[in-house]
Amino acid sequence: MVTGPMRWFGGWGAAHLSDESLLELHTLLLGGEHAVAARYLRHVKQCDHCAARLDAVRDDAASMRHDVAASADARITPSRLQRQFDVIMRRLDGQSGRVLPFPVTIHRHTPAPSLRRWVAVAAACGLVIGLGAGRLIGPVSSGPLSTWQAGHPPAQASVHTGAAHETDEQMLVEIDVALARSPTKEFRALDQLTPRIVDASVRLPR
Amino acid sequence: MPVRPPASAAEGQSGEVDLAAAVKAHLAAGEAAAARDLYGDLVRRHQRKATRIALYYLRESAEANEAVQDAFVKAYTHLLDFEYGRSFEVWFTRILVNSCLDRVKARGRRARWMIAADDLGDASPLERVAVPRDSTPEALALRRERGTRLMGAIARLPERQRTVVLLSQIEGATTREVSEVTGLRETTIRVHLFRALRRLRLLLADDPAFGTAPGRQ
Repeated sequence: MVTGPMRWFGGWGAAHLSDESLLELHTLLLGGEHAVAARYLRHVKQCDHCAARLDAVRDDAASMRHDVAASADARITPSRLQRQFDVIMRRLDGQSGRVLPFPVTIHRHTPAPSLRRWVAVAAACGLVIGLGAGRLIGPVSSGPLSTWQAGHPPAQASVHTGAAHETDEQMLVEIDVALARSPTKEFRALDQLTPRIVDASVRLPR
Repeated sequence: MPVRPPASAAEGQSGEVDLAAAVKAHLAAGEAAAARDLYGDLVRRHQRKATRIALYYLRESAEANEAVQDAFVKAYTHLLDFEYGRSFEVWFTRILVNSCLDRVKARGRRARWMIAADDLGDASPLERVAVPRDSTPEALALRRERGTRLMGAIARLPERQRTVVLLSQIEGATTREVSEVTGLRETTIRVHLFRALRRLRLLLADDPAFGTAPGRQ
């Protein structure tokens, strides 16, 4: 429990509260911590300059609240809220738990990005399956099975991998997990060598 | 045994806790239609603020709408877990914030593995803010500019600082409410808020849209 201010004046010889102290005082007052703020307030009550600066900090904060909230509110039209409400009620009726897309007009559905996205998904899929298969039937395939291979029949493993990817999201989660697992150092090395798609997309003409 | 709400709630009085309790009682009694109708009132009451919060996090209209829908549906399906006497708004906001954060994480995964689709071009939605009728063009332009830059700066805050500053500073929640939403201690929230404001001030210090405040030395 904090019982005192975290910062005092800028220094023992300083005549006024530092900027940080003013900000902390504002935070304390916002949180209703008047007892903790009392030490600062004693000075503010005696110092017109710091009182004015505290007012300015409060005005800044109020202005921030107003600007951000007003900007967001301006995007939320009554018709948009009504459409959203209708969708929620329909979902409550169905109780299906299925995510219904909100009817939007600002989306631009162009075939090219979708195609690129699926190409990237397919490439990632191929990478995972290829590396997995390569590990199973790679250079040691002609020799005796390793302990790991003996415990995991290749055919079953590959079939399972293909069937598990039901959604994009699930697949991406599995890729993340695969990369994070310690036995798969090959993935990490390859990951380091492979340019990031995000980086590449920045360079693409839009 | 179904839990009945206080008598005032059953009579449909205006308090949101009573309203949530009434919906819960109807659900417990198997009265789905009545529960749904009453829940509609709760949705209307919190819908705008919920959408605003989702926009702060996701900044993309369609995804924010889906997050809000998901949160309301999830709250409805878990309403039997809602405790009498607690604030429905706080309880619901916690569901909503978690839903938004899940989507932010999922978006990060997609960004690592997929080429961004053009619809993510809406990443700066405040640039296309609708114009209120009662303001001058100059004031509107300045407000839009400030709103855009503020949202950009808030988006650069760490996750906890962002949540605390959005709920507390922007939406006006009390420290206690933010504590219930985030699960953080009140003193921790104050520290996060202080750090967030300090960082925001640094981020915006040289921004001409914000000028030099009299409090800045």
